[in-house]
Amino acid sequence: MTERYQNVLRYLGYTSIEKSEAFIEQVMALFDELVKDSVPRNIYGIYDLELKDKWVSMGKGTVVFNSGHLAGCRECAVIAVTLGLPVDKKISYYQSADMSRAVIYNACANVYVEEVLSYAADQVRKDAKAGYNTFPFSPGYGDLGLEVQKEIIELLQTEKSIGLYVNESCLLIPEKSITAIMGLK
Amino acid sequence: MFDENKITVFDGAMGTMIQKQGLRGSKIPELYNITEPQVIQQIHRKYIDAGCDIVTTNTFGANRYKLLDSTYTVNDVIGAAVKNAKKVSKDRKVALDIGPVGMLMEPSGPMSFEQAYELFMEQVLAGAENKVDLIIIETLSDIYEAKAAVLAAKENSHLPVICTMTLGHDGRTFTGTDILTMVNVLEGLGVDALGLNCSLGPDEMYAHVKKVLEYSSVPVIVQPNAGLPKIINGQTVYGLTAEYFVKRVCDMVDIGVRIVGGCCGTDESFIKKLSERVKDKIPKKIFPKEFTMISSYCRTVLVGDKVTLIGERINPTGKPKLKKALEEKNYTYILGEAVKQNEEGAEILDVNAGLPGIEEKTVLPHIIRQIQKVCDIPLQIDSSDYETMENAARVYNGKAVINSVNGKAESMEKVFPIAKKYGCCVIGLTLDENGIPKTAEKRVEIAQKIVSTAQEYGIPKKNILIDCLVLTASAEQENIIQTLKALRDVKYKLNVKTVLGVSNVSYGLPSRELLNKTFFVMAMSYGLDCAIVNTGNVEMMGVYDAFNVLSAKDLGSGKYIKKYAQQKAELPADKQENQFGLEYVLSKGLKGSIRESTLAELNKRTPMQIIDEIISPLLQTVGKKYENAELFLPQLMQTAEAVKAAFEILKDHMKANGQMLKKGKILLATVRGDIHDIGKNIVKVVLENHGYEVIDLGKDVSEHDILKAAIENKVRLIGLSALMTTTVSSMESTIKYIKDNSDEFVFIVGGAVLNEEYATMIGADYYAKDALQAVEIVNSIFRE
Repeated sequence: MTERYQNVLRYLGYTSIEKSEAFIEQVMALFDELVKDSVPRNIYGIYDLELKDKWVSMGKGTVVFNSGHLAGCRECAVIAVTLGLPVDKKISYYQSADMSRAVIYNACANVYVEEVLSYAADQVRKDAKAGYNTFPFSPGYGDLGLEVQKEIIELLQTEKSIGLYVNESCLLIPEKSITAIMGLK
Repeated sequence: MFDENKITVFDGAMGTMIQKQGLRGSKIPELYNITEPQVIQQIHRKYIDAGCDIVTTNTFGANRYKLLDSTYTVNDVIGAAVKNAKKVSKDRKVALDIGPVGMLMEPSGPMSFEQAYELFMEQVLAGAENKVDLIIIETLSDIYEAKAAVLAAKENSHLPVICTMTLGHDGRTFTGTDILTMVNVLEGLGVDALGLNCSLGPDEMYAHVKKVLEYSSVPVIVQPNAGLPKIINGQTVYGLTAEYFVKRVCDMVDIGVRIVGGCCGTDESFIKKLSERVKDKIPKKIFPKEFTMISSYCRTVLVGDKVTLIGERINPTGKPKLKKALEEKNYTYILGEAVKQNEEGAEILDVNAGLPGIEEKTVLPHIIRQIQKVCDIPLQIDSSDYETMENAARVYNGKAVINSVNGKAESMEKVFPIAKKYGCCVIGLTLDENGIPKTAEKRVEIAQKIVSTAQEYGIPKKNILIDCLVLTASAEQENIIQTLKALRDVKYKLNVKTVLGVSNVSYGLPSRELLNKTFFVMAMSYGLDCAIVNTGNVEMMGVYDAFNVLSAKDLGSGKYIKKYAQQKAELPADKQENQFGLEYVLSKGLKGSIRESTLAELNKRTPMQIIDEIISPLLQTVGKKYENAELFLPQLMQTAEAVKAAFEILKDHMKANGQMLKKGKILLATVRGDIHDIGKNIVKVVLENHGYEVIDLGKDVSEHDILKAAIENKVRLIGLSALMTTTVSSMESTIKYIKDNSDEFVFIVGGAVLNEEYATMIGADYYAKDALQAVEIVNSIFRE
């Protein structure tokens, strides 16, 4: 079984990998369906950083990311990825049709959106040719506040570029989306 | 509007040029129309000197929503913008540019269809007042928003309308609209040209444009970016040279594109080369396409390949449960029916809310919106009330079928304008002022009249489906064959698609199913294109699947084998299930056997005995296994869904015997600002399994709505869910608001970032870490 399906099972709370073939088949079929439903998009930008005390600001002070994770970095990549609205709709659909399929499909979507993020992160690494990079970390992680979500959306113009919006509670729409920051030096 | 003998050239990017002129920093570049008119005029002049035929005003975001923080009105900005363009336009035409509003539409976002329409209307009126020559609606990614914009343009001006959408590499918009759907919906709405712009460069756009050309009967426009965008040091850059860009756009002209221009990253050098290069090109002729297509916002059914199944069950006639659901505004039930038919293989759903005492003209559009929230199946608007028809066609997201028009003059006068305006397909019944003709010839005559009258209204033949009407074999046996003969002639002589509702044929005779399926096969052999059927009927679906094999529609019999080989393998297991009985069926989640097994059990025990002796112990075992990590969420849900289905049957049985199952009521909601609700829905299913009645308010629910619903439904126990730290604060204020109003409510909360301590801090009475714990808490509360 590939890492992809193991990750789905982990999301579903499996502590040991279940051997039921029929179940794995169902996971695989739903993953295929998810990939078809998705309209994956990503966008990223690479920005100069300015070190202020322990904090790092970016884009000439217009956007400030207060994160110790960026300490020592000279540049920073800001990434946004989404699977698109059809995935949200399908999750709603399955919640009306069959909750069991809904939870599996939902877990597949969580895994897939992370795959899309790591694909974008790989692109960044290629583009930036940086000798060192941090892992991509998201608003709400560690000392990076969730409020940064709005600034990222604005900075990357994600509404226009990839159809990604943020609501007043800093939640991303479409639901299966991730924003992340990666330090480079 | 467009010269048929030459390629029309639009200008290039506005934003790119504004930046080049050194203007930066404004969030609303449309304000430069007022503050820097010279610069904007200079940009227009450059494009005109480069040789474009049409200049586009600098009004992409000039809508009330985006201008909210400025001191200018839509009229101010658009007035100035048109003036700037006209000042330098000489003999060139001026197009009013309209981009997306910049807000997500319902159901994902806050903007309603009506709000979008109003915002676009203001722009259209301002443009028309300032005498632009045409309107270009561009860079849309939501087909629903495009519909609002095109309707606003056509209802508030007589100007030609162009609409372009923006696609990704995968040939779909952000919201999932594919090319077929885009062409079908926009062409239906009567745009003068349609096409693609932005997002992609000409290389990536080529294959998509080719597909647009295959399906479109109206001129096609392309305005690609100068390659794919990259953000480098905060600046967006595009890689293609003007030379290469023009070469690739010319390739698209060679396959049929009529109107060209540039989007992001292009400037006057691109347009100069482009206009020089296409000057001598002779446009390809556009042939009308004959595809009959019915669409939702992201799914299009191409009628004619094989028989299309239209699900008939959302119709209250003769269905007491649906009738009751409509009367009680229980839309969950109706949604369930929609989803079920989709699962069964329906490709289009007929939706009817015609019931005395129901305000059809508001209820039907409401049902359509509800269904479209969760299900992307195309819909058929079934009503005999013209106002209902129009309201429904207006809010529908996609290109619907109207059911129906007939050969009566009044019917055609009322229905055709609606079908034309919203670009719907229409079912035409072969009856007129003299009733249903007995002979096939007469019915074909009426069909012919319907088709030619439709054409007078500008509705092409491809948008008509003729229903030759089935009469009952019990009353008019001789007549059956007339229906089929008429069907054949309509299809092969008139070349029009056909549709039939097949289940009427057996009315008044025994073994109806036998007659229905036989007639269904006969009709398919005569050339039926669409059948309105009950897709839940196994026999009907069986002959349909078999017919598709025997008529070589199901190539390689793939679908047939998949469906029936599996069923055969399951047969012996099925027999076992019945030996093992209900407990086995429920624990394995064997949906197909629940009804049978529950009814069998009811012969032996009372409903309460079944609950106490089978269901409760089963739920306990499953719960324990879940906690011990012997089984997991998908299996827990599988059992839960099965138990829920069994409960429905038990409730019906008890109700028939004047009994009621009442363990207690709980209200559930995901709090304001929070859009994640799968966790809450898991809790809901599990609570229902334990016999509780759950009132589910959905997601993003305000404190006011929660309090109101709690009072109305006389519920004391409220379960709230929130996913993130930001929405836990909304949970806190909800609890405070309701407790301030009254101290009789008890709160249980749950969600990813919560814990016992945090829950107490925000004023909740109980915290549940998962669905099973929620049940324990609810049990203990009701025991008290």
